[in-house]
Amino acid sequence: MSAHHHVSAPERTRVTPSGLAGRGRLATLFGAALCVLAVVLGFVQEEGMARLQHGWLLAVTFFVTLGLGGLFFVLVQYLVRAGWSVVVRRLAEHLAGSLPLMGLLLLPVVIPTLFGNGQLYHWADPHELAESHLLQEKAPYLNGWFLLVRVAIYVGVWTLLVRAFNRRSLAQDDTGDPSMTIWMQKRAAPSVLAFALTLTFFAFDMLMSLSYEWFSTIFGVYVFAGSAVALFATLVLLALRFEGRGELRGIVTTEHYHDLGKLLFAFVFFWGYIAFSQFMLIWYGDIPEETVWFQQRWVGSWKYVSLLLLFGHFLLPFVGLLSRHVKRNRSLLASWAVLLLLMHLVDLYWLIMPTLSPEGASIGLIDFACLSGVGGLFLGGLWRRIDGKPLVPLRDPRLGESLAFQNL
Amino acid sequence: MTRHLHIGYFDDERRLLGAARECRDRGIPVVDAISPFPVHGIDEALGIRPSRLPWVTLVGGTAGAVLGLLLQYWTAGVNWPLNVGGKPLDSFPAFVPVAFELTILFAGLSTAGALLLRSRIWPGRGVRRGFETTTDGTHALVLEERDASFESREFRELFLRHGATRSVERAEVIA
Repeated sequence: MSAHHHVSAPERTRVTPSGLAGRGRLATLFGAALCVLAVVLGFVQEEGMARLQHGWLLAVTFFVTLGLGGLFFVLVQYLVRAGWSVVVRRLAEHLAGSLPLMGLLLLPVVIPTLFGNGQLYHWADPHELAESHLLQEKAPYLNGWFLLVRVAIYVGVWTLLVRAFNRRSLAQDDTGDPSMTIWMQKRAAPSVLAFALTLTFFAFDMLMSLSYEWFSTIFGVYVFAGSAVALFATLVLLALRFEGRGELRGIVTTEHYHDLGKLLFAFVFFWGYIAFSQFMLIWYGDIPEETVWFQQRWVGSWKYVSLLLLFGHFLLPFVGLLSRHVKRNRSLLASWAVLLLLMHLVDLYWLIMPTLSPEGASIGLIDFACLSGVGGLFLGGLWRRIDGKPLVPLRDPRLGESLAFQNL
Repeated sequence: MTRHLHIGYFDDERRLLGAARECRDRGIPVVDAISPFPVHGIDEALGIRPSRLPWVTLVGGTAGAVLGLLLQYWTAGVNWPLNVGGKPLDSFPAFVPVAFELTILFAGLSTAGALLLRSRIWPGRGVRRGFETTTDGTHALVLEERDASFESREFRELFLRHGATRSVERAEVIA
């Protein structure tokens, strides 16, 4: 195989998945039913409302970070004018397309703060506010209405970016107009800035403010690193899925998996690097208001969750993905992708749940209901977006380069 | 010792690949293929086995990590015990950044060093005669004549059959 071995553009009908819309509707129905079940359980169970809000936040942030990963991938491909990635970019576009709905699903945890419900965000509790001088100082930022405004801005920016990029990419399938690519390349740099700021403050507001007395300036980067790991793991699995179905057969090759594997490996290390940077500075400084956060994650069984992350999210996949043979082997790469996707969930669980059960890790039925409920809505939206549209940007000016791509 | 080289010059990398593949299939010893830019598929066409260089990187990096940790344990904990902020003398987290940097340094230097040694390039080795025009547009396929089973004429014919623009013979003295 060589670059000059002529690679012709794929036929539209062959790369356009069909029959996914029905499955999508089913997933949405299933998801909606489980969301209702979660809410019912929340009302019925003892302390259920607190768990419902925590479980809901975990589920929604998991899928929001997947969408953010997709948006990041799309923006960076245009920013660096990448050629190799065109055949997998549409998958990332569809993942990013989940952001408007998933962003909307943040409302159920934002709105309670407006009414002084501090079960999830303790800073929203009026008694807490009356007693804590620190919180009174932070109140101009940490208050329900301002949170609502900020979340609206984040989700608004994401929706605008997704619309702008996805619509042009899809339109290019019909027109083949290269000015679409040029338009997106020009906007990619400011878009990445907007992405970085909104993701950082989203992480501060929705995750870091769970412990309002604690702060870490690197926290946004940490959440970003985890999102990128989850994105590359998901891209590998989605590409394999559609290679198996046939739409991407002969289009996404070992060479593309190798590159996705390299990026997955790189971000596994980046996540470990950032996680350690956050830990080490706090450990070195040894100031109680900072160390308390790690202290909470070393209590009881939380210690084992912390160790699980150290090994499962960093050390094991680092060694496992080191070799190029693993990255070029579909089933090995898929196994690591599944593990890392799971670890991203554990990571978010480790960020969110200690405020609910400080004495040790605990999992409830509500957590599963929230996760499969929101997951059903996510998958339903994803399948319906994928259905009936070419899974390959048919007339992207760099498609030929991507089809013929080889690692040297 | 001298070796007898036959060099074919091609102005298209597809022709170079074709000639290389025939040599591989017929078992004709290829010394190297020299191109002004990376040619996709040349490794496979030349029958080059996967590089063993990553193993050097792995060993070098591991050595860097181990030595970096030992150095810090010994200096900070044994040879000159130093109390930093009341932390234990053998505080592992404090040693990670230096061990990490030394891992990268050792991995990088050992890789570069192994590459230079294996390619027989080091200071004072003198200038080797290059292959004309391969830096500005032509590709050279260098073959070695090891025994009489394949004559000079046959090398030239092989090159020309694959569209070489020029075929050259050269005797090279190897130290």
